[in-house]
Amino acid sequence: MDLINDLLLGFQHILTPTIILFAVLGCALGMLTGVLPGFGPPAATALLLPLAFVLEPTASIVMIAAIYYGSMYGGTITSVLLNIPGEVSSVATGIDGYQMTRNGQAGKALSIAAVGSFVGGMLAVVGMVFASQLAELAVNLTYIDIFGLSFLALMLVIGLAGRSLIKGLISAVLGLLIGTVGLDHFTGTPRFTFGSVELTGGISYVAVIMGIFGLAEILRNLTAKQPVDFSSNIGSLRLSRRDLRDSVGSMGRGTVIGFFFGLVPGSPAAASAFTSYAVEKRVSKTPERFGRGAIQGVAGPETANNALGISNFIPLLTLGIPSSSTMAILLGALLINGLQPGPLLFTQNPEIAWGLIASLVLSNVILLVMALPLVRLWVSVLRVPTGILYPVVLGVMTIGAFAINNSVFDVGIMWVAGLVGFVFHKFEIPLAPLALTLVLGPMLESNLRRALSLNADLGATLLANPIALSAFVLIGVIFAVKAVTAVRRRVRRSGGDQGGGIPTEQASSKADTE
Amino acid sequence: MIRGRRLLSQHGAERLTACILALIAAGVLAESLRLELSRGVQPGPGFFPALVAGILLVLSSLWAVQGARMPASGDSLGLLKDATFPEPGDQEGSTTPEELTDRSVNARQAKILAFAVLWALVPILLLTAIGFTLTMTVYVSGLLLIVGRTSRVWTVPLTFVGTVLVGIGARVVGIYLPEPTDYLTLLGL
Repeated sequence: MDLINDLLLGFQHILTPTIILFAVLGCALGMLTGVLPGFGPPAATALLLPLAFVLEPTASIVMIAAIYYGSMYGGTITSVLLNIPGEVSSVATGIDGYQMTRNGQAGKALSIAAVGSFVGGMLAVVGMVFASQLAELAVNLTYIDIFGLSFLALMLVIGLAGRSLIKGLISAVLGLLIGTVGLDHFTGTPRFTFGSVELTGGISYVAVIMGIFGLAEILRNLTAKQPVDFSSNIGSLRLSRRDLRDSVGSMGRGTVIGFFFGLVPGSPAAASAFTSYAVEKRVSKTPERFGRGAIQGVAGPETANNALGISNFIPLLTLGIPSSSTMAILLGALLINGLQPGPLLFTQNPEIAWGLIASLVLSNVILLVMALPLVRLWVSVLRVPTGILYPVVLGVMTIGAFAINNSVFDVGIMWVAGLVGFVFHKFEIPLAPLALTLVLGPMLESNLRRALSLNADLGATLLANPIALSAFVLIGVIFAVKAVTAVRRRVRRSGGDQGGGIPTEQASSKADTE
Repeated sequence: MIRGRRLLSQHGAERLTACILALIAAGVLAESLRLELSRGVQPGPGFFPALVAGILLVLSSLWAVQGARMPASGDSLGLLKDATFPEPGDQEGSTTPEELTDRSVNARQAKILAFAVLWALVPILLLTAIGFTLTMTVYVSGLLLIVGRTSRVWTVPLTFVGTVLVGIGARVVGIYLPEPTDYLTLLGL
């Protein structure tokens, strides 16, 4: 009963004309940026993160969550119409979605994707309401426990983000180093400021995130081939009873798969979408239709994708641990507003915590209402040449970066970060670990230093805190599994080379860099 | 086969980047050691950066070594590679018209990238000096003209109008962009 009251409190807090307007605006902006070829949720939320500075806390959190939500559907539009996924998780949707477009059923594919997103999102919110009880258990965590759990989340992200453990770790360590620039929070000593006044306040993670995700994406697109032409005739959006009947099971299975994948930090969204796709193909009585425009091949992965997007919020809200780069950006938005996500958020700012959960329901409804009537508008955005679209986006980004501190220094930081992000992409270095450590870094450092100040013997501290100890044991297991996999792969590769086989390792690595 | 201006292979570029990272890590480590590593029994301001820089030094060295061990596959970086010019009778290096087109596109894209990076100096250098409206008009219309190849007649005036509208929008949401002359107030906005 308490849970229902809490959720009602959240609705009470957000159901005001202003907040609803910001949620609608957020969904629209999210879809608009999501349809830009190559722009996924991290880039879309990073691009619009400066809004968190100018809006009041609830409005900014609701709007950024809505942007995230809208951008997920925007990515689906490009995936279905152009077979250019806005994000890796939309790749699975595009397999049958694009085939449906080629069969003249683009409208139907977009409709079932919207309905699947709605169902997956709503059911995942129900799961999230119950999972919020984790926060009560997390209140008693010690500094070393929080450090251990944050570190575990980070290692999971690194372990699952890319093919190379070394590159993932380098990305994470660079984020930690950037976080050390500025005044030391404990002693007030300037670190790596080189006498610069701007650096004394630290490097703005908003500018860095805008650079590595948003700007790097634009630079990539400026140097990529133009999207192929496509037909703007998307056909009827109406779904028949049979379409819905065929998709109901796929949506149910997709929700369960996406929800549980989303609870694991670093779990790639693509993995849940592809698992859902594989399950649908396996349970189907007509598996031969998959890859040729099967509606279940769109409904399952798309539902899983949205359920994962919602359950990703659970580790963030209950433990304060972001489980993906987009969640790290959302964590940044909460921190900008002076809110510390984690167990105390539900007791100290229940209206914000429950307001955010309620806003996900609101965004779900808005998205369902807006997505289909406006789909032709989003399709027309795809017709604007990138040579015109991206300069305008660059102009908006420059204003956003400037607005962080009213300083051109942050514009420069954004550009440097953008180039770093571009180089990271070229070298297949995952960006998610950097985004996570950039935001988590100061928290990791302060928790470690506090824990060591209380007891300098790290071993004894760990033994006294079983949660932290378990986290470090799990980290050890992850490293061991990763090392064994790498050795096996190398042995297999060398065996293949001796047999005259051609190594094909690098083919799929591009997707891992996201 | 005569190789053109292939500046760096992928592995070469990775090794170079790994070495640069190792140098940065060494610099940070040295600076961290200069800061206090501990204050009594408590960790000092240099403790965490030293720890992180040490890890980065090890990782970048491992990356460099790993890169050196990898077989040179010849897959050069997209932006650094250039055409491979075939010698007569050199079947392996023969270049199809499609490939040539692809490479010429690459060269153009590399130029666009270089222009976008250099052009970013416009807002960085001019924003506070000549104000938001003029700077962004120059910046965005420059990008539109060069990258988007838009009409020379309409680009600048339309960009100016768009920039003024964005300035008004920014003010509505509480962002005050630098302007030497507050013409929006003069216009009653």
